[in-house]
Amino acid sequence: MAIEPASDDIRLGPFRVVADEERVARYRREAGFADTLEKIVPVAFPAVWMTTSEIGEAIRAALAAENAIAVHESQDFRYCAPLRVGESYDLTVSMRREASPPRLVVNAFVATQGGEARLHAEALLRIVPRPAALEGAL
Amino acid sequence: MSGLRLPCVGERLPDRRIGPFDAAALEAYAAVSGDDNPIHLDERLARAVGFRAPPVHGMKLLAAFEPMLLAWRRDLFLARLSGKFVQPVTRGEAVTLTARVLRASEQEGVFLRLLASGESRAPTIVGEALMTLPKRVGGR
Repeated sequence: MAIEPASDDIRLGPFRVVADEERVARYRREAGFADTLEKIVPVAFPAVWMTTSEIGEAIRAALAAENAIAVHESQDFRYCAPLRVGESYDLTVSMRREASPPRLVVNAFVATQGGEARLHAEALLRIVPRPAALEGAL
Repeated sequence: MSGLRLPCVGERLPDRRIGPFDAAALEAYAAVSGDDNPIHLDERLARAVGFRAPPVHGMKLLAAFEPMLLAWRRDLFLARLSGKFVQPVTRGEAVTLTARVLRASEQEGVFLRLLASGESRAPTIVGEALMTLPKRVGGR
């Protein structure tokens, strides 16, 4: 599993993130987990860490020169080992542009505070012209 | 990967039907996930863009595969979950999740094809999963 960003990517972080017990429990409910799975951090949970203002601003900055929005095209989570409720991790993000088709590729790397890799997540964001109806909305 | 009880290639998991999701459900997901993109929450905006109602967050649907997979094989670790968001389902639509075993081997684990479909039966997510035996470092 590729676990390091390429050298020419835009890099963000590392950010200290936590699999907060209360937020994990709420996320499990929203994803439809049974109560018997209460100790699990959902595989998709790290997506919540990608909505922080620093990462959102970096994505907006990457699109600043064009009247465009990013549409979530695909998402991939690859784990070396599961996350644990209550534990803190280091999140590093890298981004790169692809020209054809126009995309922003956002990679997230999560490791323990001791440096052990836990997961690599990749989001493909398709860059599309901003619909007129969205002017000022996003 | 010794010790893995292999499923049959082609085995189809029991379908899981979720939703329909109302405005409160989309607001609850937005609140916990941090994805408060107004396209999911603002009906007027969604209609202006061409949807008949706000689209359900794709990540909410992708995440819903995990409990389905663990209900099938709680002894395995979900090592990979991926999905391509093909077309949105909108607020008020029920969604059917399906999964089928594509490959299974002791060395690589169990690969599954995932599909989420709205009421039109057209795929909204096409994905895949890899389930393996839990590793000693992180068994859960």
